[in-house]
Amino acid sequence: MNDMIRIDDLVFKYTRDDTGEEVNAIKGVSFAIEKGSFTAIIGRNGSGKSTLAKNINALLLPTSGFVYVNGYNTSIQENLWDVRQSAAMVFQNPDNQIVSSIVEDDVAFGPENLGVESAEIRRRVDESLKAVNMYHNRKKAPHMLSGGQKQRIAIAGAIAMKPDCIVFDEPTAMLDPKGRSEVMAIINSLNEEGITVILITHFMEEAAEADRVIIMDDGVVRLDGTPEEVFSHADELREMNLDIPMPVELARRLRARGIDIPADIINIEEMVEYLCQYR
Amino acid sequence: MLRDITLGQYYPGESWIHRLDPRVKIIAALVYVAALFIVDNLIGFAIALAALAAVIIISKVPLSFILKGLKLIFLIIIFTVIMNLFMIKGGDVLVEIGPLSIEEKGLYTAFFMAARLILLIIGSSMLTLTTKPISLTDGIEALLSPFSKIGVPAHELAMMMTIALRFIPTLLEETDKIMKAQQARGADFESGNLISRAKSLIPILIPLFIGAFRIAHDLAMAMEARCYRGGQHRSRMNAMKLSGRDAAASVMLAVFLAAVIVIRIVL
Amino acid sequence: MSIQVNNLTHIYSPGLPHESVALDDVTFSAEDGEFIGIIGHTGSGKSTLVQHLNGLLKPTSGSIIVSGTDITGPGVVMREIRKKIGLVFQYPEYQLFEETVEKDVAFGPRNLGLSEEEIEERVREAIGLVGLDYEAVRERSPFDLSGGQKRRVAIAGVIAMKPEVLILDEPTAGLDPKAHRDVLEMIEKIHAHEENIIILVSHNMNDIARLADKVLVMDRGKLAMQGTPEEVFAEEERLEAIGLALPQPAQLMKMAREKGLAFEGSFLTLDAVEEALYNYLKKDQI
Repeated sequence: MNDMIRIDDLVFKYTRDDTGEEVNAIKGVSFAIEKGSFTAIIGRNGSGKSTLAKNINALLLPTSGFVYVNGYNTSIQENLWDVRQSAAMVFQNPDNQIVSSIVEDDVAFGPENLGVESAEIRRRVDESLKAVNMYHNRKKAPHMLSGGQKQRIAIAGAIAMKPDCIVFDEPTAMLDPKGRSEVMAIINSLNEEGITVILITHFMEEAAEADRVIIMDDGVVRLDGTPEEVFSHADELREMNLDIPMPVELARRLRARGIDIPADIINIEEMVEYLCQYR
Repeated sequence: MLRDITLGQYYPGESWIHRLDPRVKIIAALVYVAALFIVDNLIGFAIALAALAAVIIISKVPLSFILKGLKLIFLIIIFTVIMNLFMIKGGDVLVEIGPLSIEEKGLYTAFFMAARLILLIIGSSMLTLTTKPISLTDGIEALLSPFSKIGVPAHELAMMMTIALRFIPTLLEETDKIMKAQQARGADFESGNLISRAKSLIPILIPLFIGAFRIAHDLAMAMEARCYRGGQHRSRMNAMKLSGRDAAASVMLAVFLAAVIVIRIVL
Repeated sequence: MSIQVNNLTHIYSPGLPHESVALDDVTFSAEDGEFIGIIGHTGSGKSTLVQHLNGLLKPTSGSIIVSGTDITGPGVVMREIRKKIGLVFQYPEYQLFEETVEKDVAFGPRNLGLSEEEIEERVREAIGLVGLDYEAVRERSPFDLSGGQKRRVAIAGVIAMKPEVLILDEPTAGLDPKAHRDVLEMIEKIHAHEENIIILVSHNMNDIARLADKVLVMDRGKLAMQGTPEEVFAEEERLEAIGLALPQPAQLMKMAREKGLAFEGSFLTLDAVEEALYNYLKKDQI
């Protein structure tokens, strides 16, 4: 069994509080995510990507269809804690997910809820804080830290639960460029250590770092493949009002003017390498 | 800036008192308050004062820092004392000023009232001055947990306090931002009569409440995602353990209480 | 209309142990119809600077002269400053509070003491300028709108005050790419329509390079650089030392130059890079 997550024909509907109308947020989505992989899920606001993330963590349960996390069916009540321990989650707003007024106590929150024994919690907290480079700030109050630092604390809180998979729901949307690159560096290093990463984002540059990109639009999966494959569908991406990474857009424009550029150029480094061939 | 405000008046330190188990300190504070109501004579007050002085000295919290935080409360005490002085009658008349007079019993009551209140306030503030708010929360939870069987929501109360402590600075910052933003739209919070001033708070309060609900919603989701399911099954990273220090403090507390009771009975 | 900032200094908690210099001797000016971009790290003093321009903070020393009036001087009526200078904060949708969009947008103009007809006129115009349909949204609750629409309503609330200088602090923060593009287009439209001075604070170098006539670079409270985007982004080493990135097209060309490819000049936009690369590649390929 190599699937970290398996989604079978997931449908999710909910009723809006204000208007009472029924919203079809996810309209039949199926895919599997391999253990140890790094998948980016992209889509504009309202495409259903965040709803999907919450279904993976059993914060929302399927209207129909199934979600399996590490083999556990999320719809079965007894599996709830195994699901949430297997697939941890980091949210968008760094402020609104930190529970305690002391950094290390917050990181301990997850393992405490799991009933882990004190000495082991201590060990995990120290390890997790070191992994996100925040050990020196362990006694600080969260409100004295920057957005990027707070987001790293939230990531440490997820790691401390020893999950196999972490779902990041737009973790960089509210950060400045510095905080954004700090958080991306940590996400990459966690994936290198074997944690399955699912990154929900609308920044294409971040998606370009993944092994696989899934594009969602209007509650369905529109594109699914390596970043190279997905970005080659530039017209479709535009039609969905998504951005294209700058080097991909550049290659597309040059190609339109008769220049022969390979389709697998997706970042600046690859573009420069290609240019150097014609020195 | 608003975020600089210290909460619970904690005075950071590593003194013997600071390092005591919060449960011991909470009980000590309760015992001390009770003792102040047992005491009814000068010797008793002298002992209570000496005990408090010893705690202050050992804690290394500067007296000026303690008093600074209590200015407003002292005003209230002075007012109470004056009321007592003139209102309570009995015994010899000591001073007469026009229609007002101070009588022996009034002086006596006013003195004890003042001494009791001052010791009570300083004594209980020593608890918050030497205990981190978060440890205080843990202590309250631990002390209340035996009562959870009879329906006292010990864990829930403690969690509420923890979250309040965490989000008060965030909400203060948010208030600051909203005020500035509305000022930039020409809102005026300073002039006008009481009604128009109260009205001018609406543009601050509504966004603030909506913000607080948003935080509550996000936080609830984040806590659930981190497997929060109330107090059951929950372990703690820093399990509270009593040390020799705590035993020593408990003995001293017992001696103090005994002394106060004996003096009350004997004298 | 002009704005002249002279030797602006702001010290937080002066005389206390945690005294900190938030602004240190900042001097610049902006003329009629200019589009100014301000870049710098979080904590570099950008927000402190724009709050001074709006009179929300008073400088420790220095002056801000708006069309001949020193707004830091004694006896200045705040309402007069706010008529001239509008400030849109980060995440402005978090300040919405009225029951309807129309009432919320009217809050600013009403505070200026305008007549009811004037207010209605301005609200209608502002809602149109931010790209919303006045008739469709006026009676709706601002809280029922989408994230991008809420932000537009909040911006309309400031535009309706018809400021001669419009300051926007990170107006696209947290938006998806579509909403990001829409908000920038909207700002360009407002700039063209109102012919006001725009001051845009942003972390997005691509946007700044594309839109600004003049760029101010803030670093640890000081105005580290100012000039046209071409001038500022040409100083690659200094920007790197401050820790600021180049616009992406410029990054690509910088890296190519470092590999020994001869691309001269400034490449701030995709169009410029496309032209240069086309000319470079066509001789080999076509």
